[in-house]
Amino acid sequence: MNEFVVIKNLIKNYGDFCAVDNLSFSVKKGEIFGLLGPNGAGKSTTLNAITMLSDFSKGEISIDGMNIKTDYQRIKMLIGIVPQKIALYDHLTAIENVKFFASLYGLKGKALLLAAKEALGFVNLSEKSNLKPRQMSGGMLRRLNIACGIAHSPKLIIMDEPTVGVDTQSREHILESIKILRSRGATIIYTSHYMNEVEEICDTIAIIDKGRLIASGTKEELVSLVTNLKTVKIQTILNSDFNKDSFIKQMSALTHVKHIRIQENDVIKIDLSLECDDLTFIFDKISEFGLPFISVNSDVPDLDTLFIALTGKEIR
Amino acid sequence: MKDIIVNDLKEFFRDKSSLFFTIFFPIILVFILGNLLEMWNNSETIVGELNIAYYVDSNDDYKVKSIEQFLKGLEKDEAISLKKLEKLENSANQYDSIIALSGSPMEVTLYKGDDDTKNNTINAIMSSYLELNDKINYVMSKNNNQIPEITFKDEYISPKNLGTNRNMIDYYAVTMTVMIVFMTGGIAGSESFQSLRKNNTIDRLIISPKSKLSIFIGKMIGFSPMIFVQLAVVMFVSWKFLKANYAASFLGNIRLIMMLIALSYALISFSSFLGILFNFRTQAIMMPLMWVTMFFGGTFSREVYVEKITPLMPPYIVQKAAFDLINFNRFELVNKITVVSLILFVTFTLTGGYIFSKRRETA
Repeated sequence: MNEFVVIKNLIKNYGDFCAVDNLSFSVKKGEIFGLLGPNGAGKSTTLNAITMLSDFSKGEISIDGMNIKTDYQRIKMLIGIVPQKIALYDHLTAIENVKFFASLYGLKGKALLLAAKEALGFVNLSEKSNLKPRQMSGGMLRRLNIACGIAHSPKLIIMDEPTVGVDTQSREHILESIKILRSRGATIIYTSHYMNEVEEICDTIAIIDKGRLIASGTKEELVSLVTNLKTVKIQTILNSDFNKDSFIKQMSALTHVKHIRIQENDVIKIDLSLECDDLTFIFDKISEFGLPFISVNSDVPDLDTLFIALTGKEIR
Repeated sequence: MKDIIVNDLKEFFRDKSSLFFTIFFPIILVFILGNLLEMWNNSETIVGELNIAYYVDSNDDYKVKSIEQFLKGLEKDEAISLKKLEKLENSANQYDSIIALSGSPMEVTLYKGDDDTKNNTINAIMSSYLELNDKINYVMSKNNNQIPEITFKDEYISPKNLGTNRNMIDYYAVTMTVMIVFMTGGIAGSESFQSLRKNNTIDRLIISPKSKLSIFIGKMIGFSPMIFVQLAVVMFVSWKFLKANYAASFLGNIRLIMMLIALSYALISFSSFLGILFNFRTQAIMMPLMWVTMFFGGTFSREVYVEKITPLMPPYIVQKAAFDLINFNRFELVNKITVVSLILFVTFTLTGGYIFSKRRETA
């Protein structure tokens, strides 16, 4: 696969603050490229530079072999964006919204109508094409938001957290749709706070923090970077009296505990140093908080572990 | 650009709040303000009968006779009654005004009553006499102290109707139309770009291959239905239901509407320009600005006139132009405002479009 997006030594300063610091990476044609980073890492600034929403101080960005400083008009025709915030006109129906945004790319008449219908069908909203945004659920709005970004068949699709706040069913549908777009030849840059999504769909992942690239590669390549940790996964039931902050503070103080995080499904993940060969002290501490043990597994480090190991922060 | 214009038209006609403020709000405003203000500010002031007395205590016979003759001449008007008093005391409440001729050389003292309208009328009558007297003296000095024979008969002055029967609703029809133009023009533009930011569509527009200038101009032209519908509604309702009169001729009305349309575009482009320039809600600037200029411009009441301030207020200048046109068929000021508005529209649209094309909306 050849390189479709190339970013070289990108720098973006806001006064004295450096939001993107000499960032370089490339996205191969036809891949889903995951861009991860904690809040304020420079993800949005990078995406804005690629989409030409904001200028950059130094560096070079090329898309499909064209420089965005000189060939911006041609490059704009290649890009479709699915913004994190729902960007729709309230008083237009679903199909009118899609038609309007596709028309900005020169589509007209029957071709425009066909493209809009296809995009709506793609996100499974054909039956809802005459509904207005306020008549739609959160998941439907997210899917319509995607349809508006892809109707003109862009070669590069930038998706900024497209699944925020949607139900599981819609999320699954969106992720499947993204894979289909890839199979049709589109190159996708994808950001998300949901690590499992990134693991599931992204071919290549880049982790940035403080405007710098700190790791990139396939999921397997990245996880292999974590050689000094092992992970214990404990399924429990958290009650309403559970004091999360106190729990994390006390657990983190224990010997061998490197990171601890509590997931939404009441799973406690603890990263331990490799020297730790007795987990009794961990179970004792958890018992002090009155938490039951539903299951306990030893797990290989995942992207979450890597992310925390590299950035020192959870992704959200 | 066409897509943006069509899109804005759809958004406008489907947005109930836009329709309310464009159609129903002006109707309500015209009915409520029109009726209310007309009651408070009646254009017809009835002077009524003038009961005048005069008192002579002067030996300056020539001047006394001259004034007496003049005052007696007033009695030709049935509404004026005149009585010569023997003494001044205890007469104050019986007459609207008492004219005392005293001293030598004679001096005139005008004792006024409680009614300002009657006082002003009598004051005007006496002032006109003095003016006339001055002129006669001047003519005599140039004519060997002889008064040339100039005869006027009663029918020399023939009253004629001015044409349109003007009343206060005509004043408020114009001022309310101007108010609607200033209010909506001043707010709509700034609101337009705020709403793009609010529904996050501005990023999609900027990322698209459309030039920002064409987006900006498209938004400006997209306001056309609002401008036309609003003007049509206000003018039609005030004409049809409140019997307001605008210009007497078809051409006059066309010129008036053209001026108001040009002004609307100028205001919208100005408020859009501000909306682009600042990221906060620029209505916070425009609303008070519009209200203050309209208040001091006499839009809400003809009684508000502050020297050195009112004549500078844009609403006042526009209203003056409209009154010039509809009352006197004078087009000069209307033409000037139309041309200046169009120049401002082009200037703000191009400048706003330029700033929009250079400005980065998001960090």
